[in-house]
Amino acid sequence: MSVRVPREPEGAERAPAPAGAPPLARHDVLTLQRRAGNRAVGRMLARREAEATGAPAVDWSTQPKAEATATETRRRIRTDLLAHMRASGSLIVRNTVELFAGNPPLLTLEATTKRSDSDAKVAAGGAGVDALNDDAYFRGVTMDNVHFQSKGMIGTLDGTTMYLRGHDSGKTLRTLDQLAATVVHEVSHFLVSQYGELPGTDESASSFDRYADEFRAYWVSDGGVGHGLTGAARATAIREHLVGTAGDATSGYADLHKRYFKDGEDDFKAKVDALAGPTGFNVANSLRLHRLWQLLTRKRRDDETIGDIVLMVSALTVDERREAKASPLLAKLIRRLGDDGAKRVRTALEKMVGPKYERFLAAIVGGKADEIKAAYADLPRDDRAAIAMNAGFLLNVGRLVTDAGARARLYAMTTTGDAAQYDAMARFLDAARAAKDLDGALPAELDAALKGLNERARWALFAWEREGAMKDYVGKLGSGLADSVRERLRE
Amino acid sequence: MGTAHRLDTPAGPVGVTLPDDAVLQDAGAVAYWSPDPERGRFTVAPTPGAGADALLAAERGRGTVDVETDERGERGGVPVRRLRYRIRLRRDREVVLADGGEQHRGGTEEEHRADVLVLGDGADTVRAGYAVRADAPPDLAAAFAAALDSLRIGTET
Repeated sequence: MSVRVPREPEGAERAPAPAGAPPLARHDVLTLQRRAGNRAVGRMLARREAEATGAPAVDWSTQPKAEATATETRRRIRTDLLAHMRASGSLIVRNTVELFAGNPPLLTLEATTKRSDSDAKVAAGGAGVDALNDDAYFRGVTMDNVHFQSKGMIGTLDGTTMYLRGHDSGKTLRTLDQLAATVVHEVSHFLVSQYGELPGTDESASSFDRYADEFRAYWVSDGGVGHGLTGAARATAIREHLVGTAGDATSGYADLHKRYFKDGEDDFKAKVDALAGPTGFNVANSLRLHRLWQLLTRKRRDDETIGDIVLMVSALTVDERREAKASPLLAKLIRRLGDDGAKRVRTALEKMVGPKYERFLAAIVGGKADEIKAAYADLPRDDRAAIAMNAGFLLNVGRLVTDAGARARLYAMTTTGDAAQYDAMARFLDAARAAKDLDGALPAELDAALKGLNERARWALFAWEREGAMKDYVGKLGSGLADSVRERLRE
Repeated sequence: MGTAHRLDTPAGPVGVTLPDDAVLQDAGAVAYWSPDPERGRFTVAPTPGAGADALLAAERGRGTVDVETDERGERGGVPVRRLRYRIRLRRDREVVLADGGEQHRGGTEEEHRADVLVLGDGADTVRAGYAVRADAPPDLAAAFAAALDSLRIGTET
């Protein structure tokens, strides 16, 4: 049911067409044709993907079809997208996906889909709903809720849930890279909002804070605006995307464009022009930095809390620790811990940030024994002491090193402070591998290797590699021999 | 002055006079006019089964509503209820695919003023009126108010 709008008004002669709608220029027509062509190709590819995977085609023409589309979107974003992001070569993408992991995760993903009765819902929508520009969507996989959003909406964040549409309004599936870029961008907004560093962003779409918030989100995202550019060129590309150009009133973000090019807004313009890099804390969407901020904003400030904070600091990567150390937001929060607590946290932030520590981590990633031992020996004494038995360091090693034997060798060295223990653990693991499936008496090589292990190295193997190297090496021995080795390791 | 438009609605004929250069668009199920859609719009829309109470309930579900006028009457043989109200709401921040790529909108508080005639009842309910942002230029609000004042309903047409 609809209101029938007559093609021509009744009564008096029709006035000339409004000046606001000029005829399409040739290049506009070509652009439209190109876009239409791209959409057609996209739809064809989406159909093929759907046929290949057995997934339902994107369709919201009826409630069952809309719900089937939502179910497939949910599957795709929770399974395919998260796996794709975990395997990404981009640090910020890998960081971002960590925010959606854990139990419970900090953030969750959910599908949002256009309702099959969108037109009717929009018609009855009320004052804030624009029939020309809004559609009615539902969230989740059951069409039992209504949310009015823009027609071209592809994602939104509400609380700690990120809603993704998974396709555009032309029913073309968005690629996993495109979805990942949207997630990274939106997480940046989420974090800015959490930290309250740009409060004006939630008050006005034409505020400098909104500009800085968007600027940062584009800066940190891979593959989007300013992709491949660095420094001033990247800042300029993002600025032009946000404020547009003087000659094109439809360019850029409408509110930012109007303000930037409005006479008398010199101060705003100057601030926009001066912004050369991302603003605020946690520009790499790091879960670790976010957890640190959460700990620092706790009301409880006793010894246990300070201990947790110091532990969290040690779990940061080098870059994260540097960012935390330089952050005015964190500096303010650290001051609130009181003299002793603040001193402990600042001391922790000072450790393990030097270039030698970075070289050590790089060597660990490289995996070459000689380079690892040399880099470790070159560490300042304080750093060697800081990483021994350090849960944060263990966490980082767990993140950087997938091979259980390599981790065991590292732990033997760092726990004892002795590079020779790296080799001692290597000899033990080699001997255990050589004795795989053997049972009975302890082979001489294995016996000698065990004798070469320091007590702390043995303890580290038990404590931190129970599910890793212990299982992969000792667990592969015959059961009697394995028991004997475990006994020796416990001595 | 202006151009008269006649609409056939479930609640009967509705006439409205709009500026001569105005384009009354067909937006889904809605007859729609606005010289500045970002700031407001005049609409005539069928809302079967969703009268004034349903409108207020939906609005209260989305924001804070202050009703300024709630009058019942009849015009041109059609039951009419006039609602004037203000609503303050926060649109979710959203990513939108627009010309030139992604844009991010919303996430700020908005205040709208609405003046709506709810015509007819039951399955034949129609809403005619406007909503305009509180920070819109006065001329825009005045243009919408003039359109609402020009409405001719049922036998008035």
